[in-house]
Amino acid sequence: MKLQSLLLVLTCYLIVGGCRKSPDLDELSSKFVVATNADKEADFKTYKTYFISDTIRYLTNTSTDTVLVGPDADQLINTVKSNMSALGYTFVGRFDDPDVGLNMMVVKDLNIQTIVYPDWWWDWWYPWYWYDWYYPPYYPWSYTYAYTTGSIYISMGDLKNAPETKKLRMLWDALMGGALGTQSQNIAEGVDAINQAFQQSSYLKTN
Amino acid sequence: MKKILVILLLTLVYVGASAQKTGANLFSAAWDVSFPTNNDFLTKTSLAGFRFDYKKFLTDNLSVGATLSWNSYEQYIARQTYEKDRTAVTTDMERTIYNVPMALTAHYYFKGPKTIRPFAGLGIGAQYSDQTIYYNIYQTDVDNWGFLLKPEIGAYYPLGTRGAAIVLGGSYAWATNKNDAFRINSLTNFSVHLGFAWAGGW
Repeated sequence: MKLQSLLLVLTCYLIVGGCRKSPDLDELSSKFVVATNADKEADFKTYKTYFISDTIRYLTNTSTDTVLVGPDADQLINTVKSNMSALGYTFVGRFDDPDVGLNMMVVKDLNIQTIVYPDWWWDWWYPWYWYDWYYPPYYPWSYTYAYTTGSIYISMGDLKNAPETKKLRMLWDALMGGALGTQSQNIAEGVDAINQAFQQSSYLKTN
Repeated sequence: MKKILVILLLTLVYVGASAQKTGANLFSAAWDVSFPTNNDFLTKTSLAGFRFDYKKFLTDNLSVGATLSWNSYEQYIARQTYEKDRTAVTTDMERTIYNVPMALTAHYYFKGPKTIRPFAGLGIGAQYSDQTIYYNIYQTDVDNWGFLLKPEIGAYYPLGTRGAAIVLGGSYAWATNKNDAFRINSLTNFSVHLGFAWAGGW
């Protein structure tokens, strides 16, 4: 009888202690998840010039933090510029009729995950420095974003054809997200993520 | 799968001596080690699993009953890019599957060495499964149900005459759980279980 009791106790221990093992997430890296999407019909060879502002829209829990400027912003913007340049695109001023416009946003310190639908969400973060090209935005693909702390979002709009179509057609975008560390670490991860976003978008080229 | 069926058929041909008394009940609980066999989602062996069985002997060598088990699988996948048309995602990830197969069973018991009661049987039922991908601070979670077929073989090693026994067995599970997002069309695995059984006397 003792043996049976022992076996019963052992069994109960295994049942209670073992059910659904928690995954070991220690192996996961801190590198940002990089997701890119593009208009399947877009011929990127028809675009030659681009504009991107030196100002990054910056979303935090502090309502006064609305833009990101300075060395950190420069580092992220310059990473985009160097990638665009390597692909053959020429940077021009915003009043020099760029073919495409690039816009960057950083989300930090938002405690609540926000599911964002780009179509209706566009209005409230439409960059003030794009006022010259204000047309209703249009995304040729359909999906939602989950913005959490530590997200960088870049979008590319078709400025070349917007006056004719009266719509700002989105050609490409990239969402890079992950946990935040120190500021310098975040920027370094952000730079890596931007490089990866361009690397995995092989269709982005001028010839 | 074919091999398992052949083994089952062959063993069923050799009708053996009685193993249990008609009308007896048997309970067993066992550690279940599982080897996923059919999908690209993950391939790593799971040591985290457990199974329970209940059997009612209709004759001295035939039982019907039920089985319930669980298995937790997980595997780290290094950072890579997943592409489809002009959509791409780059990340590393931890992939997990949590299976809960449950089935009605029928087993046949063969004549073996004096101290061993070998058996073969088949379970038919359903499998609940939860597949989750963890990447950075995110997770994507899908759960589903599938039809389950579970042929198995094994043996009891009685510990004296008071009803306790050690059970060792192996089974193959084929379940129709489907998850398009993770490109899973079915879930199959081999598993080996080792545990204890209690019956009304051997």
